Amino acid sequence: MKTKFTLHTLVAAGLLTLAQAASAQVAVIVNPKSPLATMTPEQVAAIFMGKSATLPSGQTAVPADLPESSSARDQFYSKAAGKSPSQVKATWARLTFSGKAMPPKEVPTAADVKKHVAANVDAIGYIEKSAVDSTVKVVLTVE
Amino acid sequence: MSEKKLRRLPLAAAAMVACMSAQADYQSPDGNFRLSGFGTLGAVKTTTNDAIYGYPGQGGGATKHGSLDPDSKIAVQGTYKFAPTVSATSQVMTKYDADGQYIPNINWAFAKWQAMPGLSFRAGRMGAPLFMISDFRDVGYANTFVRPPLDVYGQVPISQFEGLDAAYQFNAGEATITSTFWTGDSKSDYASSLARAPSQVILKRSVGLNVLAELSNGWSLRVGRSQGKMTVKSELADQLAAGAQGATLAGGYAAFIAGAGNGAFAGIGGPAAVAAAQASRAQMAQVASLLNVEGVKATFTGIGLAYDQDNWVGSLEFTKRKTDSYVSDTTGWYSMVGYRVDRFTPYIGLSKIKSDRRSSNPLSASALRSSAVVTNSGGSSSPLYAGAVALDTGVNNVYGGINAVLGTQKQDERTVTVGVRWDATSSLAVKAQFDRVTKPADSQGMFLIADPTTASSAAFMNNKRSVNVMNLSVDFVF
Repeated sequence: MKTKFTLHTLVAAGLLTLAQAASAQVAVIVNPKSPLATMTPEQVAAIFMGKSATLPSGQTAVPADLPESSSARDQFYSKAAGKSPSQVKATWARLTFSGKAMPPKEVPTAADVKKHVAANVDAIGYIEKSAVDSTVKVVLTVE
Repeated sequence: MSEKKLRRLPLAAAAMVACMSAQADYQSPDGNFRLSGFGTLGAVKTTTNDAIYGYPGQGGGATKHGSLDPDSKIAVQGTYKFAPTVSATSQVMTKYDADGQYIPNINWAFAKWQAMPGLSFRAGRMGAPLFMISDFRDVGYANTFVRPPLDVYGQVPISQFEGLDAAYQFNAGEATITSTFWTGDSKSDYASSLARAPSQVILKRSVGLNVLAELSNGWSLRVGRSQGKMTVKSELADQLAAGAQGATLAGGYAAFIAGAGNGAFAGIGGPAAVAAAQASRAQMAQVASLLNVEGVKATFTGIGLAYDQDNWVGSLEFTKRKTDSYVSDTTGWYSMVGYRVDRFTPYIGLSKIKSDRRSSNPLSASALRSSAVVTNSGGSSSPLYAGAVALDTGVNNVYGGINAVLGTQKQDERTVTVGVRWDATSSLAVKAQFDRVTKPADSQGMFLIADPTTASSAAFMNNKRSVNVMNLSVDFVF
């Protein structure tokens, strides 16, 4: 089993604090072919917090998450859903261990999120706004 | 595996996981397989040795001598997606059980089919949605308090069922509504004293409906109702029922009634004793139907309200249990509220359980005066004496046994809870909680009585008592 052991939790937490201090805008992105033009923070939060499995278009959403160490992730959940990392984790623990839903697929970098979104018309993800390019479409910006 | 080993198992596992820290959550590269888990290492200590504190049904728990047993557990869950709409999930948990052992149990093993974006079907062994936090009640990390309030969650020993469910989710304005219909069978072991083997509670052909409305402003409302056919297999109840219907008592009654009714006892209370024995025999005939709980209707109804937004977290549940048996009808409720201050969430809670209906002992202690009558008529020299004493002893044993069974149904108590949750890392929470449990006279509360025949147990049962419960737990997900 390939497992991740974060042995340098303290160091990571320190870096996280620094990263949060320099927070940037986070863009919620979908496939350019998606019929969606804009989404509200509530709609996006419902998908990423496991409350809804579907996009406003009615299709089953295919979300991708950045890793927990990512500052864009903390920024996204704090601004779009109003949840701390612990609250997000607790929410998913509820859904996962009751067998109701699985958390979004986690990919390592913003480039991977873009690749995921570009490959699937029902995909949804979030990245720092500075990383947005023509392979994806922005439906919401949070800051 | 020896019992000693089984007792150490969760400790070792919990310590190991705690040392690993952070996430060991595994996801296969294609995203189709996910393995994760949760656990708790929890210590509990109370201020009494007269009764044992734990989850109702567990075969042991905490007294003045602290215990790791009530809360400590470890679980692993794997989910595999065979296709975008088809998956299988299994969860195995090791937790202190009714036999006082740590034996891994398959909590869930089900297949899920997402027929439409809002409609899913599951088949297999699943969590029974009897409460608001039914199927993640063991996930300490997912809850604010150390354990779900026992005054509510202790009412039903069943937490899983084997069968089918269908869930339909849709949006109505600001609300996301999820309604789940479920049906199936379930069973669970339940320890009601340490003096005997655990009982078994079986629910057959249960059907239930659970409706959850989640609003985007942090509120959620839940209403649920279920009913099924309940059977309770209890060694003590079975023995008492068999004894009440047995040839020994029947013969004893017949011999005494014939002997004392023959005229020789007319002036010394014989006719009254005969009438009393006949009344006692009639009461005895009701014992088996009281104690044989087989396929009786049992219902559980609950309503819950929860809030989780920004810094406030709170919940409220009101529940009712009803059965057509000696298992009492109860009302249980709790309310709790917490406020997040950075990584700390102090919280307070109140909860209460009370009996709405209790069965009474069909036998009355004074009904039989057989040995007294015989004593009046010449004591041990009377030819009826030995039979009368044996009959009285037999009746008293059944009478006392029924009281012991019915005593387990006197669970009234209330609890005041104060605690704090500390989110130490994003996958580990530490909680310190203090509960003050107050039970009225003539109730054992939700405590486990080791042996109801001891004087200290009787004193606990008969008097109003307040017991303080100190809890310290570490909850983690991995």
